[in-house]
Amino acid sequence: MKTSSLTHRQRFRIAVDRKEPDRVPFELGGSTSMMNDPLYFKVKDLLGVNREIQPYRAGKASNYYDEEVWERLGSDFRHVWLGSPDNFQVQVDEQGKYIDEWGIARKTKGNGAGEIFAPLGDADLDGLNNYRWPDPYDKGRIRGLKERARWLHEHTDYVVSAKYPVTDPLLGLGMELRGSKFFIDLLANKRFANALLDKITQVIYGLYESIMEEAGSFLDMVEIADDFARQSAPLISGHLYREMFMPRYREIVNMIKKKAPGVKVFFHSCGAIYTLIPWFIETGYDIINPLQPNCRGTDHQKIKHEFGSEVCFHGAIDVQAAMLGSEEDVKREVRRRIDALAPGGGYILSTANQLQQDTPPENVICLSRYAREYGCYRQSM
Amino acid sequence: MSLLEEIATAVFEGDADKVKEASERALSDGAAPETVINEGLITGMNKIGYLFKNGEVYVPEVLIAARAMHAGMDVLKSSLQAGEEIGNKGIVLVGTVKGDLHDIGKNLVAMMIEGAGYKVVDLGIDVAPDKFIKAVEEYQPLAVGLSALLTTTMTAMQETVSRIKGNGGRVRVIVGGAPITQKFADAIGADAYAPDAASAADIINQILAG
Repeated sequence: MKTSSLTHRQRFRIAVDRKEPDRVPFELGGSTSMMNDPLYFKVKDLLGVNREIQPYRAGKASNYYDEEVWERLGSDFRHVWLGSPDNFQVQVDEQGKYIDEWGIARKTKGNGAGEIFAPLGDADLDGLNNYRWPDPYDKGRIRGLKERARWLHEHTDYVVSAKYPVTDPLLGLGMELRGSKFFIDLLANKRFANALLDKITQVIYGLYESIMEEAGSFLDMVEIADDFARQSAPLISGHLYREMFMPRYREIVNMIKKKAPGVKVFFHSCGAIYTLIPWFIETGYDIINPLQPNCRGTDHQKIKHEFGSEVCFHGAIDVQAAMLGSEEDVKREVRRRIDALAPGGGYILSTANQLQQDTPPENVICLSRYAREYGCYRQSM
Repeated sequence: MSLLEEIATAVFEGDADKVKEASERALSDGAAPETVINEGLITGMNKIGYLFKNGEVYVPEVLIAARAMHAGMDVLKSSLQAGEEIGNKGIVLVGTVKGDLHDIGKNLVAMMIEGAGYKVVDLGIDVAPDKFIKAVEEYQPLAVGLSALLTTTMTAMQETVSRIKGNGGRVRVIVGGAPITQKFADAIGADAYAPDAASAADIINQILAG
């Protein structure tokens, strides 16, 4: 085996270009590879990290971004993100519902998220035009972003990745703003669906534009995430993705690449996405995450064989079962995913989603060590 | 094509206006509302449910068919005799167990069960065991469907099942959701396990017949 001679960033670049670096790159700390808060505290204790840090956000399942913990766990990545806007504060109405900047009211139920009350459920086209949409160019969002990205780029050799500013921006937000009626609109009221998606896209485009203008030249990767599938099948057909979503995501991806040609675009969709992969590739994503295991049609060997020459894969480590088992289960999981996805490069090992709070903390440490040990490519040159 | 077939096809195609119009026509031709429901509306929903289970159609197609079915139901409701109710096969309760806030899977299950001719009472998300028990007493359902997506809520599911079962009565409990397996369903004493939304209705039909 080669000893590690590449920088984190070089390792990433080679892998994304679908060649074999010294070892499979490893990411923790990305939007989909954080630890739920109770697990973070257990892992931190186990690692002997004593320093206390403030949560970088509130109200989500995973709120702690601890550089020292990522360092100890050997993540090749560090992250930047947009902050909160100056001109908006979360409001609480008389029934205790929290209203976010999209106007979506949530009744939290202890676990972070909660019941959702769709504000555009009965809206017509005029309603969309008169709606108060978030301002993507609010100065508060970018405060400190450029400085942190530049510092990471110039003073470390980590892969610098921008976290996604909004989870599930098109299909997910469409559903939250409109309710499940949005699915009906997509087929039967296309005029409204297009108008709503245009409005949302305008904001999302602005958010990514803010990231790129400030930090584009210091970034290696930018995340986008929108869940297009459930455990057993996609939520919508490939045809509908291509018609309603692909052009809008393409616009965003093209802008990102125009502003920073070297940046790789990472796209996350949970669930059984096998049949959508060709359209994801056509959209222009460079990295597809997470190829969620235990979903119908998620055969990693087959996917690698069919699409491995066109795109890089990311994730794949099962958090629903393997990470909850024994250390041997974790090692077996690492071997399975590396054997299927790593040959020839084009694979970044990471968790298929955030590590759940009932994961044994020893397993996280086992994952981090074994992924880097078993992930070494044999010296063949 | 008979009028009932026409209604079934219109449900399948999600054509709410046509379902409404054809249901009105069927009633004025003297068809019994139950016949229109069972051989028209439910037949159409079953057909879309079958394709959904096989991954040949997706969520929008199912929702649009469900909307068309409801358009037909609205027409037929007024013609049902007093005491009769839509969903005349009985009541099924559904809910996501305490701690779990995801509900798209559960909503799909509710829709498919409704499409199979049951009346569905949806208790929503993050439902505590006490709330399930109270609803079972109030509605006297044939079956209760429990959903969980996160592994962390599986213990809450176990508690809910044992509370419902411990309370006596003959109500059947069906469990499902991403981390749930047949083995887990057996271990916690559930009557059945539904691997996905589309099979939930079939499974309820089976266990209630058996």
